[in-house]
Amino acid sequence: MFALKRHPETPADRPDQELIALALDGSDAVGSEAAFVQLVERYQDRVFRLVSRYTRDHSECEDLAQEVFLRVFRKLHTFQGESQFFTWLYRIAVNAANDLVSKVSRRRLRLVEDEFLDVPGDERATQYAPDAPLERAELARVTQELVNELPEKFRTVILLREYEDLSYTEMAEVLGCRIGTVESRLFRARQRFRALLEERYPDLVPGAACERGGK
Amino acid sequence: MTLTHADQLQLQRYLDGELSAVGAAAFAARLQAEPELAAAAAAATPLREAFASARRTAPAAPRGFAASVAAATRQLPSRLALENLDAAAGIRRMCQRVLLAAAVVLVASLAVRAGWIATGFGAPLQASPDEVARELQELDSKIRKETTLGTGNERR
Repeated sequence: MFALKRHPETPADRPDQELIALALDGSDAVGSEAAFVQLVERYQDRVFRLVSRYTRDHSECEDLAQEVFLRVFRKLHTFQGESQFFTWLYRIAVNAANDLVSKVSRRRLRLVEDEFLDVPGDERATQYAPDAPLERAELARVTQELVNELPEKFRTVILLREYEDLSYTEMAEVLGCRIGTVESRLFRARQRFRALLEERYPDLVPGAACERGGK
Repeated sequence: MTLTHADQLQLQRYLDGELSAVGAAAFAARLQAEPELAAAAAAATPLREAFASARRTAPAAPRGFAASVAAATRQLPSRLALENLDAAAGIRRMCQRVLLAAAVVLVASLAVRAGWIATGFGAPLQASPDEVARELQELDSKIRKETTLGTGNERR
């Protein structure tokens, strides 16, 4: 693998809009590529995290992430700057992931579970996570399994909200719909997820087993 | 009393941190005062725990990923060529739509001319003799009734 030299005139802390302008600048090929690489480096982990929810293994995840950035490269000149760059990027990622899912017609997707997984700390996650690590891993597996069974529209809103922590406004930008639509879709998605959780794993939902037993 | 849909959506906004500071404070006060609302909020906890646990397992991009993307972009046409391709694709899409619309109009007009679609334009206003006779009989009987009623009133 070759090492990419950082262009001297593209400091890492430049705002997205400037990097996009540089990447689109046809007069300086080296600077243009360096600017685009910085955009990739800035968002690659977020894209990986998102597309990993749609893929079966690390290799497929990497291929899909690369496809996302290639689409971004091809369409960069169409970015108008009316929304945030990352919501535009997420829209491309969600579309690419859904294309992949429909292409291979997968009914059940598996969570990426291999030794390459990085498990970063997450304050919000720790706040809610159960104490026992094994329990947590099991809960994560079950959750991913059930999320993958949701219809595409519901799965995407759950991923964007619960995993990517996007606000309603950002989700509306990614999905190209109204905030009210986001809210209602999210509400239904959670209802559907809860129903699946209660049905398959009633022990994980306090009160669900009693309710079912009482019926 | 069961929670209304509006209450449930407001609870969702509250738990997602989508309410303003004032709105959140007002809703927190409601949670204190309304046990049913508080129970609904508590019921959301297992879901939040489930999602939080799944959120932790996320892969990071491998080292050298950005460089491999850059290498792949070098295989693509130049920026100018990409923009031209995009513009050409836009024009092609527009032409396809125009052609499709023209084809629909052509087929519809041919269908009308061939008589597959009944329009009624220019058709003579004709009714069958039986129909006319029946209409006349009905009209006559109506008039007779009115006349009979009218003479009856005059005699009184």
